[in-house]
Amino acid sequence: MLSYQIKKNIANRSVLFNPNGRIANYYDKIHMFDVKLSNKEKYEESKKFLAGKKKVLTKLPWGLYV
Amino acid sequence: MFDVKLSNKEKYEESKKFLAGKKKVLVKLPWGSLGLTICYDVRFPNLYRELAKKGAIFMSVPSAFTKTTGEKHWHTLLKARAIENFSYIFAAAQTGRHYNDRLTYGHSLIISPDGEILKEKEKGEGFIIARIDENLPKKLRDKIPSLKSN
Repeated sequence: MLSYQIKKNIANRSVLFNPNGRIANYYDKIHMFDVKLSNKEKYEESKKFLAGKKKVLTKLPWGLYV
Repeated sequence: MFDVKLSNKEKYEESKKFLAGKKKVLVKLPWGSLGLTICYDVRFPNLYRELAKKGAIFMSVPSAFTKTTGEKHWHTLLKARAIENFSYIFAAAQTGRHYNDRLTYGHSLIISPDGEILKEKEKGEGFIIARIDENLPKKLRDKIPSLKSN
């Protein structure tokens, strides 16, 4: 029987690139979508993802981008 | 306090005449707890979040929203407070033209914890009634437990 454990070492990450294609900043989603909408429709994001802890603010030429 | 400058013509300085309250108020009703808020409070989501975390499943928001801001913001703000806190909203609203030509928006509302407008009275005197399911807030909060985290 094939069994494996999912390691919780990934984040739901939003990556911001600068015009040179380099990573300017990134944000790991803080709030895990652990939701049971019905018996059929359930989500357990925290089973697979690590929750972020940091609020991320990035300076753009025109203001702050959250 | 509604100290707001909408334009050079339309300004409000509530704090000139009124003292600001300092206490959050929660009232136990036979069907669940009611959080008491007023008007401009609706723009401060933290207040509602705190009331909901203390157990409120109903929020009252009696208001004299200006026509200017009401047209743009009234429904959206109240729906947001209802949904994000999974609470019923009871918002009685003053309507019409008042002294010094001040205009209020009206649109008294009862909104479900799911964000649905159950009853609405746009203008005039009167009252509205809607059927309330006092178990619905808990059902929704169990499904989507956003009140549990920050």
